[in-house]
Amino acid sequence: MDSNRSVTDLPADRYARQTRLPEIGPEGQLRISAGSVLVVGCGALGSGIANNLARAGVGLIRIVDRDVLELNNLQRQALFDENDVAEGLPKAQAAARKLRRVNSTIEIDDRVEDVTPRNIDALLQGVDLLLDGTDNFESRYVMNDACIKHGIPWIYGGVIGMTGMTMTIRPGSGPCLRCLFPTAPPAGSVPTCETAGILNTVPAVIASIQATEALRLLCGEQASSHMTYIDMWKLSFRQMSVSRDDQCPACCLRRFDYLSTDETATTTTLCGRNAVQITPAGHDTVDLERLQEDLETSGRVSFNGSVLKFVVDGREMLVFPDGRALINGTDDERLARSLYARYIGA
Amino acid sequence: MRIVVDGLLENVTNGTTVLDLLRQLDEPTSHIIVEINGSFVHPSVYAEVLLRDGDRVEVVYPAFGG
Repeated sequence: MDSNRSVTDLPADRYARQTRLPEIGPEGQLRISAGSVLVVGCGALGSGIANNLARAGVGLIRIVDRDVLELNNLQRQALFDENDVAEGLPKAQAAARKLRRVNSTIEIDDRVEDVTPRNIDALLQGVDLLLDGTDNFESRYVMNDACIKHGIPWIYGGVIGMTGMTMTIRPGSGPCLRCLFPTAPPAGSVPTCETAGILNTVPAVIASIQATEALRLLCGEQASSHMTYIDMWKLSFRQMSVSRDDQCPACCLRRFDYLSTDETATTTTLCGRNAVQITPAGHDTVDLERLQEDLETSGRVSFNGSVLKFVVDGREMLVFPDGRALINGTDDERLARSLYARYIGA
Repeated sequence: MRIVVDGLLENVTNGTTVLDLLRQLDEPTSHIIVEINGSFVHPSVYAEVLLRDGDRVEVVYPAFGG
């Protein structure tokens, strides 16, 4: 073999094992390579999805995640390693770095952001479909309303304990998230992976089903019309048929309640995490280098080029370039807002 | 009449709705998945859907983590 030939010159070799499949073939590979997807959330589901789709050659993968890596993520989030955790990298950036090494012929667009009504349209710009790797309702309802509004398919994925479920939402031809759950549950009323635990094989399977659905859709196949529900510990795998709710506010009445933008800062308690997230109202980028200088006399501060970490009064604050902050060590929203206003400025 | 709930036989009276059953079983009445004979039941009709003899009902806790 010519040692000067790069693997990037050999797309036929790179994808040979999947173009051999009659369901995909060279034609399907062209569609996959021309495809653009948005992966929202890059935890266990999102990193599994992005890993499969990058290796399969999806042309553009936009990855958005609001969080920074923690050691407990390594139990199930297969794109990351101990070095990433030690660097304190945002998940979207660590994932993008890894995926660019996996496949340099595709485009990875990483965004360290929270998904909100303010930015969802920009995130969906130019994508064929959205894959759900989130762990919260707020993001999912925003994604659902935006995808129904714009006619973009999205693939729900959720996991908890030993169980997981996934469903492809096809605007105009099937049920949406609000047909299943018309309103978001009150905060703290449903278990989270932090409080209930998670078996690491569950997100691997659900992410694989989601990625398969994405490849099928990109290849022009019809999406599955069923909800798939698995219990890995019992090795049970079930599908149920779901119809549209003709009273659904989103997909039938086209009322997109979760897209109404609120021009004040939003505060979110991250269930089971003992942390509060503050999202400022504005869209301005924060100069974190300058903020680091400003905070040096007030507490312990460090900046790794992506995230600023500030420790004061026994609480850790992580500040992102979009002005968002995670305040760890408290679930008191008022205290968190007060710390934010005092040190970052609301 | 007899129905099967999560694989176990249950006796319920005629006229029992999905909502009645959930209350009898001490299950939450929202943010769960109720499946009857393989089909999802919309939460908006829990109070209207009557159970029928021989129905196979599954009550599933949805997976919302990520």
